[in-house]
Amino acid sequence: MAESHPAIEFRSVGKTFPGVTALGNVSLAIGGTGGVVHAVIGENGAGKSTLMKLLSGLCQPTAGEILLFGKPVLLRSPQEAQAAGVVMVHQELNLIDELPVADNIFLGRERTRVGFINRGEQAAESRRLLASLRCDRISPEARCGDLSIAERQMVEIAKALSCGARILIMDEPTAVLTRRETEALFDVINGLKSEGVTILYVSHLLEEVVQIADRVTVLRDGRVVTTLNEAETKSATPRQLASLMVGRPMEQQFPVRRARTGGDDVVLDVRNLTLAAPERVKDVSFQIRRGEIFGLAGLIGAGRTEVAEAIAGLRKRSAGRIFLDGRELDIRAPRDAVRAGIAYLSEDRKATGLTLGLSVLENMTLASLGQHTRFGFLDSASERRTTQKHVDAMRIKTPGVDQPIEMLSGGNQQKVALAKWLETQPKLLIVDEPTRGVDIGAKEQIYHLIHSLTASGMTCLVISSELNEVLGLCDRVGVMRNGRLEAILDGSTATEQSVMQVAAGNTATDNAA
Amino acid sequence: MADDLTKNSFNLSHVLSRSGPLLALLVLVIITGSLEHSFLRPENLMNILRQQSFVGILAVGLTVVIISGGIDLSVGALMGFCGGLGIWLMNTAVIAAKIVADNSAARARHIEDVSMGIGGGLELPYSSVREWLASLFQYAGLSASPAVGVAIALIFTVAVATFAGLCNGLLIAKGRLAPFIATLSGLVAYRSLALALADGGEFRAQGGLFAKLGTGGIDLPYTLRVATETTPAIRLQLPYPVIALAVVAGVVAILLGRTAFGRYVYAIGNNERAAVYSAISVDRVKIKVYALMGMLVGVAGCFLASRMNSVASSTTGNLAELDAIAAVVIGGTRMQGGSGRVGGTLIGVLILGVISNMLNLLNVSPYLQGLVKGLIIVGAVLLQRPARRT
Repeated sequence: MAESHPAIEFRSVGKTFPGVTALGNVSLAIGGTGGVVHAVIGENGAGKSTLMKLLSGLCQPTAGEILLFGKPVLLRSPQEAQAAGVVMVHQELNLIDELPVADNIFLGRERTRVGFINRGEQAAESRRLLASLRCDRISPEARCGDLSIAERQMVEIAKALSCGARILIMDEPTAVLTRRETEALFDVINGLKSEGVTILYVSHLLEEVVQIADRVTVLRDGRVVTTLNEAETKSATPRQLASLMVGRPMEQQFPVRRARTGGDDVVLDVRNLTLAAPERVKDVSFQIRRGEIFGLAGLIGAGRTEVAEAIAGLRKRSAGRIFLDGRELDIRAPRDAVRAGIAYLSEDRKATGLTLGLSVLENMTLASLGQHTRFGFLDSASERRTTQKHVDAMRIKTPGVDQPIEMLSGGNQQKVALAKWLETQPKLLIVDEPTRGVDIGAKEQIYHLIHSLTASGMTCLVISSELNEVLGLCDRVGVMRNGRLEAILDGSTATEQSVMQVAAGNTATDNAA
Repeated sequence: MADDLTKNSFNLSHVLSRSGPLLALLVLVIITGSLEHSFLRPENLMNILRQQSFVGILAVGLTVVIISGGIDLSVGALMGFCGGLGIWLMNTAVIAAKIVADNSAARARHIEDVSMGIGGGLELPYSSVREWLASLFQYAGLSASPAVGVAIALIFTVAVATFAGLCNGLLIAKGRLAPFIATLSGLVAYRSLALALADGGEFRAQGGLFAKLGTGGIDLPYTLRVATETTPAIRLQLPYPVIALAVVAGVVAILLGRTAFGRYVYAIGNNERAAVYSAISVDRVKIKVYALMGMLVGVAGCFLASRMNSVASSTTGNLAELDAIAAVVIGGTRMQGGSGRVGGTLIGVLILGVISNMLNLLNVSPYLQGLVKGLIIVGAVLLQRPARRT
């Protein structure tokens, strides 16, 4: 009887690359009759990606076998995986911005009539799929580039369903979503589950894992640590899961709040900052004192990143003044900001934070090459010393400083990006989503680092969509809504509710909590 | 996120793709040498070097441009124009020198004489400009010796070429034009300028000094022909253009590998946005890249004009940009930018030179040579393409 087989079964599956074991002897059964949400968690480098790649046909096991619905399969390409009913919803959504929704959904599998694309049928089918996801408001004719990230994700899921997916792999699906969008996504996931779809859910956000998953498998160093059954998953707390991932009991995630030491002099003074684009960012004023950690919270699109980019010289101001240490700055280009002592760690590590084709060393010194130049020539010994110093101090896991940065895990990449900016010796460090896509161990380290930096007199502006991060880390929290700084709350007394109330505005108060 | 330990640093295909061009060159040399022994004679090898030095200088510059994520299609046309301009200016200096030597009564005749070589006897455009320049040279006392005239011509030509490159850079960096478009316009424009300056004819150099630059060289301790009673010994020479290529390659390799400018070029080619976020003045770096390219085109143009002692305004330098781009690509530089090395490009230049030489020695029909060349280029690039990721 086919129905008694698990949807996915790994039998002693191993995957080694020359010199590295990514996955060692993993045996795991996922799903069975009816739908299930099975979460896979683990630190960066634990083997989650490899597991997903094996299932979606991006790479093949070097040992053991994979069974789908009881039958051994050989998945040599995403097309073969798709034919076997496995579809992956990528973290970086794989949609073509210029094409309409319907064309994206049927990309590569166009419905045709005598050789021509049958637009009518594609649109009707798209409408039906989107309706089944309760996304009727997305028009099949809309250009994908005009949709919000959450809407694009729904299109991606509709695309997966149109392939007849029985197994859906979701990689960090909520990383880019707001709280409300996340709830909507969870409704869709539960709907799919009730229709018998097996969902493999990979995420760093353990609170959400506890909320959505029926079962949880914990990976560490390429091996399965444990799989929690339904009862265990129900009673698990994020803290317990974190301990399982790391392999030791977790201390409190945020370092103990310390007394700020910097004195009362104002380091950054932003007055009536107004941007040329987007125009909604208007009249933003705030001050940050020496050694302070100031947070900017708000929903996606509230204008937090835009404010930071304006301070860093990446965005044009149309009005407003910026003072650093009491001196007014005329910032026209990023170079001006860096010279003045402002460093900005951007939110998108891959696109803007790092240069993936370059090595660890080349990335580390890129923003501060002037320090390593002698008589016009680069002093490679000095570059090497500096890089090695950071690699040691921040415990960056890399075989060497000449390793291409691309080959490091997300957490280690982030540490390099952070070190790159520390090398410019900033007075003000702006970090935008400093722990996005970073595992718990590295997260802890980054928090500690921010604390010790501010303790030694640096001033820090933290932008984060993770409310507990902002609240756990910051002395004061500015909350933005629709381009305006609506309130500045005290970090020690603010709560998720109080922040969300401001961030979402009165109209959406009930959705905020 | 790329959270896997699955990628590692050691990689056989990586090593192969780095040394691939060198292997290809060795294989070509061995094959050609065994098919035709005269190929390995030192004077033949030196001849290949000399022939390739002009395209080589262009290719070294293009390596930088392509690593930065750009392209420059105007280099061939600009080289032709620069060569012509160099000769034109030098001839003007010669006129000036003669004016000094003779009295002014002969002046008009001299201009006529010297100009005859330029416009093919047709009515000459720009002769008033030339006359004015000649008197300017004379006034400045710069026409005292022919050597000074040549030097002025060379410096001015390289300056003009650098300015042309600068314009490309400005159009691309500040005008936000795609490099392909900006330099395609340059290709058409510089060719037209050369045609206009020569009225469609040839630039022909007057005086023998200029030719030394392209045809002369430094004697090497290798005798090609022993001296007889009637003829002096002939030594193998290291031609000046080859020395120029070596110097240019050395300087550019140091620029790329040992200076902040070079690091920025790689960073921009890899990820321009990340470079902007890293507070690099991306525009300024790009402008410098194209200005450097222009300067090298000027140098190549001077040597080329001197070597041939004449420049055909309609054909000299035609398609040189494609040869240079082919050399860069064969040498392992990524067309999309971000990675590449000058050493690889030099090997690419040599591969192209050996192929042409081989085809000539083996008496392959000139009509078929392009086909063979095309196939070898495709083969060389196929061999070193990155292994497909699994």
